[in-house]
Amino acid sequence: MQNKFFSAEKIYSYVTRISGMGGELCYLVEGNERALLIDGLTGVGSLRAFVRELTDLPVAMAATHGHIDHIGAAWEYGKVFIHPNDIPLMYTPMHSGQQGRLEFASMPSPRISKRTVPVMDDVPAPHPVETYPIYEGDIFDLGDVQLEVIGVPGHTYGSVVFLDRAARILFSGDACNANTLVFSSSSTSIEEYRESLIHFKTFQQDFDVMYGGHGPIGVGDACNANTLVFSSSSTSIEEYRESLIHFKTFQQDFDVMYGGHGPIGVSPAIIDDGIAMCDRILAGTDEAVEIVSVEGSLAWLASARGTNYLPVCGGLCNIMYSRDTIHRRPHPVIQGKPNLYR
Amino acid sequence: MLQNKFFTAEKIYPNVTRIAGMGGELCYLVEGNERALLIDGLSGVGSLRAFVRELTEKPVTMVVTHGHVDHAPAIFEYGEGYIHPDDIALMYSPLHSSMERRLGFALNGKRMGTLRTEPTMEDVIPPCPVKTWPVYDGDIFDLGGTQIEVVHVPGHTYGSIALIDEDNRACYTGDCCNANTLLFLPGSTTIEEYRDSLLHFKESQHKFDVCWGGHGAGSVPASVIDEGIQLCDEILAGTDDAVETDYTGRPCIYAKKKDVSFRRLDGGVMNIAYSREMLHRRPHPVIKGEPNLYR
Repeated sequence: MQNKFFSAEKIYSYVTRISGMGGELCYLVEGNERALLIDGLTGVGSLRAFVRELTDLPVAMAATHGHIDHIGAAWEYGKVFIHPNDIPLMYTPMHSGQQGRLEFASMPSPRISKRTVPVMDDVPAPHPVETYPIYEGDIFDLGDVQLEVIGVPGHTYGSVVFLDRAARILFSGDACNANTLVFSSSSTSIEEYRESLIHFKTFQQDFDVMYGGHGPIGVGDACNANTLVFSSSSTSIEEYRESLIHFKTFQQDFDVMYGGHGPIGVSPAIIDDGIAMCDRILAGTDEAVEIVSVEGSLAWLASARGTNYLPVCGGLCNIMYSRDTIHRRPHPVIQGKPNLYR
Repeated sequence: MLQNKFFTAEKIYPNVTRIAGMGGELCYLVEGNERALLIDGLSGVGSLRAFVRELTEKPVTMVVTHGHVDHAPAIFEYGEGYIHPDDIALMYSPLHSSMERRLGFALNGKRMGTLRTEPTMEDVIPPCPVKTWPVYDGDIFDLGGTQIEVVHVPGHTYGSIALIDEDNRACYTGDCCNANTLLFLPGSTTIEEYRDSLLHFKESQHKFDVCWGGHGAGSVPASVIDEGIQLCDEILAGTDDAVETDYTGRPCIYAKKKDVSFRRLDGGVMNIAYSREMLHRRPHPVIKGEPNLYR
């Protein structure tokens, strides 16, 4: 099912994956009593109306983290379950601003079949919303489906993933993937991320496959709007405008990448790869490939990107980091404005 | 002393103003060299924001000690504020945000004979979604030249915090611990959890001598923490006075005998109102579409 803005595809009888115009993904999980929308895309077009067409159940929205391409429908629903550490982040102009969201959806790509040209009228304005806290260990009870919250700070301080223990499926947002972005001002240090992954690993035997906030998805998928695997949550869309050329480079890489990519989900083995990569970064033995981040700052890739965007050193997980935030920082004091990291 | 029809302000330290609302509820404005911190927001009847603007030229940050009807509502005027995340759902619940309930709270002043105007629904700030910035145990508000430290003291609510002003040897405790500590409400913790909170709070006790709460005439000594731990022990052992009564129509048990002014008959200061169903730790509730009021 699709409309001009969204494409929906069932990946299980009770799970629908929805993709937005920028290739970002979210998941509608339906129990027999209620549904949980995991992430809210970028907020271009009405995801709420689209979801209403998909289910008659009452829907609650939860966000894996507070980034622009995950939080968008919160501005429509007016309430969202989110880890409190990401509340300040979601309200920043970078992650809530209408211009940046429109540009995210408008990103040109040879692989996305845009079915309309989005305009500012398609972008719901951001505003204060009811942000209900979720923490590690919380359980969403949808009737015959339970989703368990696991905290995996790294990409952001409030990043969480959702485990469907009975089905052995995990919804991972941007917590770890082939292009894990841990370089931005609201990301944790590598030391903290390493600890997150070691904690995450204690759940590794509980799932067989994880679904993230961006590709890869199968080639030739007719309603595929998902070319932009790379972008994960471009942590900054404000400066992203200045980096469109840089993005285009990504897109070319991406054509190659999708050519060879079959599987939809990612193996839990990625957690081990992530921990090993953190160890290399901390020991200074990673490849440390210098790169200009989407925020315009210098960042480093733990390993060069090979075919399929996978790290050339092997494994499934690559990490983009900043040399300033390899080690734990002290908590900042509050000086009138909320801090974006702890 | 400065007052208008709705609020009364009084300095309790050179840089701290205590503000009382119509229902006798209290909040505190702490000023540093660069910023001011408004601790609690009364009931949202009359514009506290406008009143605070008369009191200071500094940019004001708002924090609430907990999400209750008589502490949070100015957040609906400011549009943002710091709150422990565990109290966000409570703050939005009709019991604590509805205009009728808040007007009713202000009208308590009628009974006390302290009203300078008859508040109407027009005076009540409508509730709305706001930006709820998270605060946690150990966070520090830097006001320039003075720092205020957050301690998480779940009990009265799961998101209750106290704010330590070490420079003045004071702590702003909201409704954390006082002569009428209410621990039987929907959204309160169990006695077991509260006991743990007070033991944690005690680790910071050396930083202050007095506690300024959300109600009452003056401060109470920091030793209320010790009394509170003692009371929890007695309640859990079943050796407290266990006076069965009610508070504003809701049945509860007071740990110690008291007079009508909440003065303990044995000379102690701290008292706890509790429920027998809320003594021992409970499992965390699952989320069924709507946020829970307790963890």
